Amino acid sequence: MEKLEQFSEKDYFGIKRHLSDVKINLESRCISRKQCFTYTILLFILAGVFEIGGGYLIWLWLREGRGLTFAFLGAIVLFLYGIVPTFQPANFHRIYATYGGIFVIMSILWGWVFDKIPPDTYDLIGALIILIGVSIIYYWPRKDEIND
Amino acid sequence: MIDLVISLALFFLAALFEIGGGYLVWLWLRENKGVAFGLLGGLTLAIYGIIPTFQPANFGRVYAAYGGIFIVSSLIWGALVDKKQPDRYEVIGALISLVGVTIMFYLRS
Repeated sequence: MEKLEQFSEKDYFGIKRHLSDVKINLESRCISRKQCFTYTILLFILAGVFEIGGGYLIWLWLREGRGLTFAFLGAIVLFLYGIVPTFQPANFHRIYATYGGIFVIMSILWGWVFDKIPPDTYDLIGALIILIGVSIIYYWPRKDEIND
Repeated sequence: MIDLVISLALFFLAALFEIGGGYLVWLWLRENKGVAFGLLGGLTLAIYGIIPTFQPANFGRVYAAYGGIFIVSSLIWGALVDKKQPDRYEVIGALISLVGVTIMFYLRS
C-alpha cells in the first residue's frame, strides 16, 4: 500500500493517479476469496477480449487486406490489453501463465462466434484440461501468501 | 515436420514479444518506471500482433495452441527476468495445461 501511495504522487496528467486509485479499490475488494475470484476472472476475460480483438484487427489488416486503420486500432487495443493485468493481485509470471489458459478458451469462443468455426471434441477436452491446469496455477491456496 | 518446427518457433517468438511487451507496461504501472517503458511496451505488443499472421492454420486454432506455449514462457520469464522461481503448484498446473494443449493442437493431426 505504501508503494501505491508513493506512486500516486508521481502522476502524469492525473492518469496514473486514477489508475492506482482503481487498483487500490480492486485490491481492497479482495478481502473475501469469492469476491477476489470474481474480480480476477473478470480481469482475465477483459484482457482476453482486448488481446484477441487487437490481434484480430491486425490479422484483418495483414491477412484480409483491410486498411491501415485496422492496424492502428489493433495496436491501441493491444496496448490496453497490456494495461489490464497490472490490476491483478499477484506477481507477473503467475498472472501471465494463468492468462495463457484463459486465452485458449476465449480464442475458441472467438473463432466460434466471429469465424463460425465450432469447437470439436479435441478442443473441448483440451480446453477443459487446460482450465484445470491454470486454475491450479492461480487459485491454489498458498499458506505464505496473503493475496491467495 | 518442418511446418511443426516453424510453427513452434513462431509461437515462442510471439510469446517473447507479448510477455516482453506486457512486462514493460507492468514496469511502468506497477514498478513505477517511466512512461517510456509503457510506450515501448505498447510498441512491442503491436509487433506481437503481427507474428501470428505468419502461422499456417486458421485464426482460432493458431491462438489456441499458442496459449500453451504462453503458459510455459511466462513461468520461464518469471524465473529468468523477474528472478522468481515457479512454485510447486505453478509447475503442476503448467504440466496439466500442456496435456490439454497436446490434445487440442498436435494429437488431432
